[in-house]
Amino acid sequence: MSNTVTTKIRMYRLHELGDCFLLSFTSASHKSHVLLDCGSFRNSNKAVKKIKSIAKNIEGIVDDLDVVIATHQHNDHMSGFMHAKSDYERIGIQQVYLSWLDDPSDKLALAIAKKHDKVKKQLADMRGIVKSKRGPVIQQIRAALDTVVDGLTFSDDNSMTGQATQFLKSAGSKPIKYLSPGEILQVPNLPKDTVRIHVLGPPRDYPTIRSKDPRKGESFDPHLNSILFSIDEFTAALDVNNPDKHFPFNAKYKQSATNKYFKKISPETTKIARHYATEKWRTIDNDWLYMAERFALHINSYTNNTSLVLAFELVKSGRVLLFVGDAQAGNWRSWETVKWEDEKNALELDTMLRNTVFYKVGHHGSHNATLKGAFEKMTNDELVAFIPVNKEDANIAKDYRPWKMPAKNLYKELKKSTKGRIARMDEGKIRYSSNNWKAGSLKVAPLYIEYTIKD
Amino acid sequence: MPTYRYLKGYTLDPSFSTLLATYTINETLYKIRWEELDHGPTGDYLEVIDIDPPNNCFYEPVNLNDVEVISQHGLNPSEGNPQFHQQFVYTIAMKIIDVFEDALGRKIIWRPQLSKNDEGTYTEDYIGKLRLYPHALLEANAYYTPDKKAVLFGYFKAKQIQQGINVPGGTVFTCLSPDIIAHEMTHAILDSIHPHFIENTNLDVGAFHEAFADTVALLQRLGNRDLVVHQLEQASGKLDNESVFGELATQVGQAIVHGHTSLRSAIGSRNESDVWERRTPDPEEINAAKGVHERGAIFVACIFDAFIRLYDYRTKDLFRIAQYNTLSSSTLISPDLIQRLATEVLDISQSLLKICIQALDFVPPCDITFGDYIRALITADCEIAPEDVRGYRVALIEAFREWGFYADRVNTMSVESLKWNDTKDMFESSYEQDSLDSIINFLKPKIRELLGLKGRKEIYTKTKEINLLLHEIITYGIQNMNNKKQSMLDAYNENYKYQIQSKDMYSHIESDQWKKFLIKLGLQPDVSTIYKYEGKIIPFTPKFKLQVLNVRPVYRSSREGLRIDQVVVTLLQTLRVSKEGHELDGFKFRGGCTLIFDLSEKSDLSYAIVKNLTSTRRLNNQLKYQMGYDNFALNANSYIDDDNPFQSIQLKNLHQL
Repeated sequence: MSNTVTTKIRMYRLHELGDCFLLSFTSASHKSHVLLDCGSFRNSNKAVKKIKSIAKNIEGIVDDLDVVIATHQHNDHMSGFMHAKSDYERIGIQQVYLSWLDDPSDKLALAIAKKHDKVKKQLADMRGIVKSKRGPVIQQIRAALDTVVDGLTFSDDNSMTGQATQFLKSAGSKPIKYLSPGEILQVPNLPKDTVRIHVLGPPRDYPTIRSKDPRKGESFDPHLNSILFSIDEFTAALDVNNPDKHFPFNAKYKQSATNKYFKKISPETTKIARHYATEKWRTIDNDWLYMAERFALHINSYTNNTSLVLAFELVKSGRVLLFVGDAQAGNWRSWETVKWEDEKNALELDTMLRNTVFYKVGHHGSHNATLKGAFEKMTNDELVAFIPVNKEDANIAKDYRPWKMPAKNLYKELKKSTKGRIARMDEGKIRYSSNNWKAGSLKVAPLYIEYTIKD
Repeated sequence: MPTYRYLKGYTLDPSFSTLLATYTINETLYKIRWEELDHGPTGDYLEVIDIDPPNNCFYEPVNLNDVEVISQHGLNPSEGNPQFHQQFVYTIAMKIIDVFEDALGRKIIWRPQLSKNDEGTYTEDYIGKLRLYPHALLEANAYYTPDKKAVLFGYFKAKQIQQGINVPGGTVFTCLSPDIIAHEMTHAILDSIHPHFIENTNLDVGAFHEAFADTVALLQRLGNRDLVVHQLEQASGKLDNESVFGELATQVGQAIVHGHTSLRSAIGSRNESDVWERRTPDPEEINAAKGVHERGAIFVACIFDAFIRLYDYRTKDLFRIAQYNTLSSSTLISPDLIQRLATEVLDISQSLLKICIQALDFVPPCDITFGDYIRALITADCEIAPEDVRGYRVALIEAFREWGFYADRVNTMSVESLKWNDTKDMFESSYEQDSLDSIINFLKPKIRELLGLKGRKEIYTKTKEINLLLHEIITYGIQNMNNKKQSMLDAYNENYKYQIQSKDMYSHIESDQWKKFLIKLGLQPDVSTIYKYEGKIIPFTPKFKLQVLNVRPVYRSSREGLRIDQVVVTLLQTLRVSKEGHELDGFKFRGGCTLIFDLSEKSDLSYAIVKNLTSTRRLNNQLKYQMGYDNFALNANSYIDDDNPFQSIQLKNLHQL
């Protein structure tokens, strides 16, 4: 049969938080290579070295890359394209796929980007101000802001993800493709209908819960909206030198011992203020700042939710490889509403999930990037799960509010559904031999773990 | 001293004052009990502290004793005057305290503050006043925090587009919403009665906290006569169509981004063609619902449904007398009929509210489920109205059935099965009967003393003393106790108190008979059970202590005029895992009981509501929940702190809009 294909999926071992997957499809007469993400959370010298050696490794396998895909704008998915830019230029890229959110001609994408940029700038300002504050609450807030601010693009020209996007937009010899849910593509340079790519996310519209009249764009992602709703007042309030004098009350009501714009503190207020300060544990000076932490978490979730979600269908066997980026619940939920352009080749979501034999676990295995209901439908006997996570990563190993990756309860479920066939970048050879992997299907090398699926 | 203080305030959210249909009734005169007040207001139960951290300022504390204020029944309702805000949070908060104290027949004592001193021992401090911070946050949120014994209210700018009846870009204050204040105060009061109900041990605990707070806010609304009359006029005597009753916190809800509705509308919503529809019961729904608000809303809808059933049942005759055809809305309804209907609404809603609150005395001390609570409701109602001539229990059970609320391991939905079991079959031996009698004889005079006390701090101190003595009885056994009582009492002092409570119990148990008696109370005098999780033994800390959580007198009169004279005793025991690095580090499994003793002529144990510490079934359920997927509904956006499966419910996050 002409569309018989052997698939090799190589998860590169960054040994931190970072996604980099090389998919190699080989048919009787053709080969095609797809690179999905390349990034490091740390971006240390060590990380740059690692990425360079990954690029070298890729160069050893491919003549050029048929497709390069970046799922979303986080360093741990994209920074590698900058670190190894010259290598990728040398290797050669035929075509790049990005999500519709990167499409400069998409009005909705532009409108969202504008809001997004605004929030990002405000978060950076916020971090600047919060830095000068003290107190136990602050440590937590600062940590959250640090994570987000350092990991985000802050202007398209300067940041690493911004630069990487710019690079990718012009890297392909064929015109770039911006993917939207509902599209079905052929993996190029293979015989027709050998491997099809079904685009599931990011959604153009989130199913909204309460709003009866969702405006386009506004309902794109509740996280972004929730921030936009109150970030202005919040940032204004942080700026103590330039207060909004008449918000929420006329300035004549405001009394302060330190703020020159307000009235002097009265004797009765002084009494209350003293009493307030006597029981330190009951004071609330910094509680309102928790909001900043929430903004930070929301913007992180928002960006994760912009992930490009792709299901690779190996047509002959019907097997599906599911790559979800870091998509969180909202993105997952939207898949049910996807309208397929090419109805003939469309797959029911349930079929897709049932036939999934390879699952790239969302967001390094965090608890809210694998939707329970959908995951429960991944019932295929052959299912394996790959988690690009390393327990030694500083975000996970730190004492203070460590990230829980992979989440224990999710891990347990994964173990059950895959009969123990989980590959993590931080676990060496020995572990796998004792598990239920099909003989010869798994290859563990210092730089990568490779899984082979034969038709 | 006057009996009442009258204070002006809003009936519904301030935005209703700008609607022609409601402006006439949106300002009302609240009647609350008189108490000596300082600036703030600062009273016996509450202190309003108006610091505004986002603006880095204070607002002048209101003096409600000022002649100009007191003679005008308080300051005029105004969104623009912070001093009115202070007055208003105080007013509604006091109103809710009144409602609870009236229903419970005793005073509210805030949850004490537990702190660890340098030597690592715990001390407990009495908290006289709950703090209310009316302008604490710059966000659409308000919450009670047990850590600070305070309620924090936020304010925010409404959305910049026209939505509902808000001024676009106008400021919305959560401290001016009577529903929100009622809701938060209910959280605080519930926490003072049941401090373990914020532990996230099953799917229902958080939902119950929310549902209960909303139920109180909703039924509280239905107790406002002016409002009820007005709504009955508008709706021609029907209550199950869209009305202000079904919606809580309308203004705040409309002001937020995805709003255009009230914050919570448990009983109905607008459909796609913008027509309001009452939520119809679906017994499957509660099984499918996993979220705290989702589950809570179904319960509120169920209680409201019971209310509507009672209203329809009780007003049928009135409509017949008036020969009023309920189907034709063209007929104008007579104002006399409206008044009579309003009387029914008030009577039913306030009776329901009372039962809902009194039911808090009939729930287990930990790991609450809706199933426990519906049994508590039925039991509470049986106590307050043994005859049930007015059909409350029937209406409640009908509603439970239709909305899919069932009690765990109760086979039929009848009053007899839902009511907590009779203790007669439970304690049959004469030894056990004697033991119970000794406990009752010990408690009786103590409770009489307690009832004689007026000051809340005195009550607190006396209660602690009784707790301590009862603790000694239970850990040492009756025989030993009789010899020891006086010396124990002599040794009693503030610091000693907690240490004694922390002593291990099992080494002192006097006899096998006594042990068996304790096991029936859900306690574990010996660590004999081996608990396992996924085949491995759970490394529980071997020493575990008994706590006498509380001894609460119940002294009230029934709906049928009988005197109720009971005491509620809550006992709790906790198994802990404290092993760094272990998967279950931080896990707590609690068990114990709520005992209701009748102190009248009968002098017996009326109910023993048990959460068994030896139940591996319950342990497995708790672990399955805490270690499982469903536990994440509370913090879905964070991947940092939410993964700790054993942390308490954060009310802060629960209310986040």
